Amino acid sequence: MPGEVAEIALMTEGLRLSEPTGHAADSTLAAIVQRAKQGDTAAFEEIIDCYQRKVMTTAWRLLGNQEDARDASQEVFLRAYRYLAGFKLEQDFGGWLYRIIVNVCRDHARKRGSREQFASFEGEREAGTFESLASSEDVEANAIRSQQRALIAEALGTLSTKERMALVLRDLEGLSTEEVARTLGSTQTTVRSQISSARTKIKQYRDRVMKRRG
Amino acid sequence: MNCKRVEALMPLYAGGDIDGQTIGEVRTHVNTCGQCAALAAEYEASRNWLSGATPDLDEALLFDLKRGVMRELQTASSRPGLFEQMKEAFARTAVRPAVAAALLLVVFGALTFWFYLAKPGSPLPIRLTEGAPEQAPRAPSGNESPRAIEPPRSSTGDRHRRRPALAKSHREKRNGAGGGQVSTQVANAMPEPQPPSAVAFESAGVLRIDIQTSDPNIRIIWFAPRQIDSQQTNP
Repeated sequence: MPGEVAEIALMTEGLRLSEPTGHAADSTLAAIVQRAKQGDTAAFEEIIDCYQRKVMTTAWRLLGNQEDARDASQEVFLRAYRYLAGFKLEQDFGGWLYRIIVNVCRDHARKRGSREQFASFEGEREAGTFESLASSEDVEANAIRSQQRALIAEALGTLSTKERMALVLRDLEGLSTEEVARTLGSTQTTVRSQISSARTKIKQYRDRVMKRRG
Repeated sequence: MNCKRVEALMPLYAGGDIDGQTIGEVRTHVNTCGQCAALAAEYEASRNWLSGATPDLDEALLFDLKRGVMRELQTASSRPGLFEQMKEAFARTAVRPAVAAALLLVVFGALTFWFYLAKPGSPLPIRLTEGAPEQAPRAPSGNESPRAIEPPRSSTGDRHRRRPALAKSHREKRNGAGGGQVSTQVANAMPEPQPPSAVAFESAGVLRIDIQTSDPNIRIIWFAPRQIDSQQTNP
């Protein structure tokens, strides 16, 4: 069984959440979900192993900082467990999980309100979000990467919640416009409008950063 | 397609989010216009820059996340449900007498209600008198049906309670009791004296029946032609 998990984890690694991972992996995943639906917590643990990295990454992209992303990811899995009985095996598990992620992150963003939404570079470093800086050879490269991530987080912070969700799902998670609309419970026209506005804002932010750097 | 239109479509063009015909027109324009081509390149660079938004998640963080979820699930599964909590509370010695006393009170209240209020045969103070009203509505003719001067019905639906009393008075008449006898029996039952106008109206051949309900403010007065009544009782 751990071999199966490792196989699925490897197949989902680097792919978007709802991307088909091949017939064998699909059938294995379906079997795991089936067992989890029947209340098998060990099977649910395997689902966590498969999806935790992607859930955490998406939550971080939507919320902009590690602390909120971790809380949201935990809530995502708890909700998934709670509503798993209502999940139909013929459904796309990844798409179903995306909807939970979006709803949980939306709730988090609402609760957070006027609090600072996106952590600064310094804040991220203090929280230990990014990789350890222990290796002396990679210190500079890591610092540059961390700084770039912080800038991207700040750029995403300039968007409204709806724009950010549409952009993250379309450009970073790789969903089609139709899938994004379905996940957000919106229309394709609205999603296109949000994406267009978001891309323009991101470009303008990047232009300002580049100009500052000279 | 001009530059202004292409500029507006550029964010969607950069991500391939416009349909086939329009994308073809934009591409044709971008290939011929240097300014729009530069704009397209900027959008492309911006998208590439954004794709760097990937946190490096270390194993310890993921392990911590998983452990937190599993701990929550175990806590939720070991938490008793509402029914179990109530059962447990009832099992406590201090709560048991209070619950038993409350149950007894509820049962006693229900029984009281059933015996004194809801029982269909509960007594209603009904008074039957015979005589004329203080002000007669109109003089009944000889062939008029008694239904035409039927008493008003209460909106509370206590008509069925009055019916047995009226039937009783009719039974008494059929058994040979005349109007005077009815009046005597009623007088025995009722402490109040007959109104003086009763005799005068009796001579006009109208029977007056007063029904006093349990509410002292509500009295039902029934006028019935004596002639018809006697025809019914003595065919």
